Amino acid sequence: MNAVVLYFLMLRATALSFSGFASVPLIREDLVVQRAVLSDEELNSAIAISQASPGPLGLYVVVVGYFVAGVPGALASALALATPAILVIPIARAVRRHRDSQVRGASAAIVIASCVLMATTSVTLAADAAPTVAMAGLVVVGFLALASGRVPPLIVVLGSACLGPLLAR
Amino acid sequence: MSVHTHAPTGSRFPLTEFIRASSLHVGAAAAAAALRRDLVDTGRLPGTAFDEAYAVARVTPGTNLLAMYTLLGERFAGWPGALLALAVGALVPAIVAVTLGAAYLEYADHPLAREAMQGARAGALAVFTWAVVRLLRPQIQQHRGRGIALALGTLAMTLVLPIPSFVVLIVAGGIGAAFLQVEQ
Repeated sequence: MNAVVLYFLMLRATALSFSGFASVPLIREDLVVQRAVLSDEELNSAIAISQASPGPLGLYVVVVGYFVAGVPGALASALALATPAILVIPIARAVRRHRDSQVRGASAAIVIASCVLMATTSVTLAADAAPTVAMAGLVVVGFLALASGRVPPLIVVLGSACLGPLLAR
Repeated sequence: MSVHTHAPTGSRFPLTEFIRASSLHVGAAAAAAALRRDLVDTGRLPGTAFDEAYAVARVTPGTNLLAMYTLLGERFAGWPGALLALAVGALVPAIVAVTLGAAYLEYADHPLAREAMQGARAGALAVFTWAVVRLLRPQIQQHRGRGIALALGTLAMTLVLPIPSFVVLIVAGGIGAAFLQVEQ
């Protein structure tokens, strides 16, 4: 896939999200559903790999870019991830001067809508991530561990990776 | 909220601190906490300036952590500092992630690696689903009826209308600007 096209697809997804994973539904729609250059398994794997890497949650887009178009794709995706941050200084100044409450309202609404899109995407991704009862159980246990507030995401992902070979047999 | 463009007097650009935060910590919260400790607790940056950058980064689109790096970098060295902090924040973890991605592709056919990755994907789905709850809960608590109505409306729009997700988000943003205004 052309790295320039990938850059603009990734930019649209990251610029419309207010948290790392909020871009997942848009990226899945573009790359898995419409262009078929990525599978749900690869998308899930990219999310898992980003969870084991330092840096922001949205870093999974760099791994997705690498899966889709190699190193040029990873660079294009890293640039797309960074581009909205370049705009943050003028945006922040404009927000402070004008209509702060409307911008915050729009931000809150986009977060709520993103969560709905993420929830529907998680149902779709579950077919790949939890194909057996044992793996579905692993998802539930991981979710409850995170909800307890005592287990960080890295431990959930690494612990699940360690249990994977045991549960797959 | 106000972002000052003046560098703190007598402070060098905290390149080492940015590299450390972006290479050693998983997730925005851990990296932000590390940077706060390195910059604020050492007296190199006022706590209010750090909190301001954190707050502004949260309400602007894109990756919050990278936006925060950018704003903090600007505090120390203007636009060059902003771009340097952003480059460090994006590239250092990206190199690690791509290395892990390449290793995954190399060993994807090995049975043990495949089974471990299947488990990791289940764990990642748990993290992803928990992220939905963490993001949605404060918004619903703050906006209550209107927030629930917007969520249900978005769900209906997603399931019924064949429109792209980014259009859904833009429509939601317009509705939020009109009906979910938040006064500070």
